[in-house]
Amino acid sequence: MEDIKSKTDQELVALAAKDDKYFEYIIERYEQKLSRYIFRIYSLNSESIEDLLQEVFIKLYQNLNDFDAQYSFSSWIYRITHNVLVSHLRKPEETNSPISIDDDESVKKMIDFLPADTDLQEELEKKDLSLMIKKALAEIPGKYREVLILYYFEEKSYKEISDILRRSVDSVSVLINRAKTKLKDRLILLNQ
Amino acid sequence: MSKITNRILKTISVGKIEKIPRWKFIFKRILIWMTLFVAIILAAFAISMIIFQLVDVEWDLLHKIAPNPFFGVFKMVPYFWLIVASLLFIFVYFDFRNTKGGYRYSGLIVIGASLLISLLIGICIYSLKTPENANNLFLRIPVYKQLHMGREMMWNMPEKGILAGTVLKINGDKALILEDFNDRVWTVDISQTKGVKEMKILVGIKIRVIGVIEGPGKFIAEGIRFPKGGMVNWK
Repeated sequence: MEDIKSKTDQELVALAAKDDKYFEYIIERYEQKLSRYIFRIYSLNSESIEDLLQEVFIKLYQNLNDFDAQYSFSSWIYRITHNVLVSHLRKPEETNSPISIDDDESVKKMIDFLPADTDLQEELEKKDLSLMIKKALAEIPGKYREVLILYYFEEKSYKEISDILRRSVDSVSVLINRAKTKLKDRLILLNQ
Repeated sequence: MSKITNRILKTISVGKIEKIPRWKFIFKRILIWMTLFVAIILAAFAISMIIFQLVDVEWDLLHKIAPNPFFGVFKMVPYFWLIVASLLFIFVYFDFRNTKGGYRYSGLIVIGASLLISLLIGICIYSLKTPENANNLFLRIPVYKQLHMGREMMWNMPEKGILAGTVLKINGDKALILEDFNDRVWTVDISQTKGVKEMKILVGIKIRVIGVIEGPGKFIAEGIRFPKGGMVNWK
């Protein structure tokens, strides 16, 4: 196990492509990160998140032989998650509600899903601002919310976001700037 | 092992889900690059046809058919091939985005580069006289013929000093009998026409005559030009 932990994503994928037993370690390495990412974009219940995660990892498993070691595995798996989310949201029966900070349950769920977020408690102390930002974030269109979450919450670089969203770096830059403007406008409205 | 890991591995095992073999991904990539290559070549051909049709325009006589130069140029745009080329470039853009790193390039770069490559290949195709032969082939297609005739008809305005049609008969170096695109038969006086002796005017070919109307069905030719749109009798 210790040996597995020291392996890079690329090495692990190469091993999993040959031997299924290594796939388990990929799931364990990304399970929480992706749960958090999905939850940050849409406030789904844990069951729905698990369903989506299962879909992501099954797609990943099926496409393992398509992974190109020249690219970042992290970006690739986020890309698969993004695609699963997009197709999930297209389903008419799905009624997803974006994070709503008015819903205390969402905050609790978020804390449950965010074990890596050590600053969360501190952030919640600034509740007013945190509340407003999250409310504003929930109210802007999904494509802007996602890019802001990737950049600020998931701490992805422009290049990584470009690989995840399959857009040029310039286009990502434009999208982030527009998203910031949308968020700012929404915050101004909420503050009135 | 966490609950979700266990669930995923169980689903894979129970559902007998398998990894897609590598060759399928390689095949898909080859297919994308091949369609991209074909689209670029077709776009280059469309560009060669655009060049061919633009070269075919008697730019120095444009003022005769359209007093406003802007409308004159507007009339001469080879819309059909322009639409074909545009559709191919749109296809190239989306097809290129499906290549592994295609999304990293902006639309402007992709379209610009494909336009440049197609233009260079298109010029080569044009220099091989392929568009002339292809045009003659396409004229067998009724819709294309209709479009082409529309363009040719613009050069048949006897009252404005341009007559275009098919040579029916040659009376030595004095006159030609010509049927225009409106089925009117003209006797064209070529006795004073410059350079007519050096021209290989044959029965059945299309010509454009520059001159003046002398009387009903009579036209005095000052100059004769061969349209580059094919030397066949397509009427």
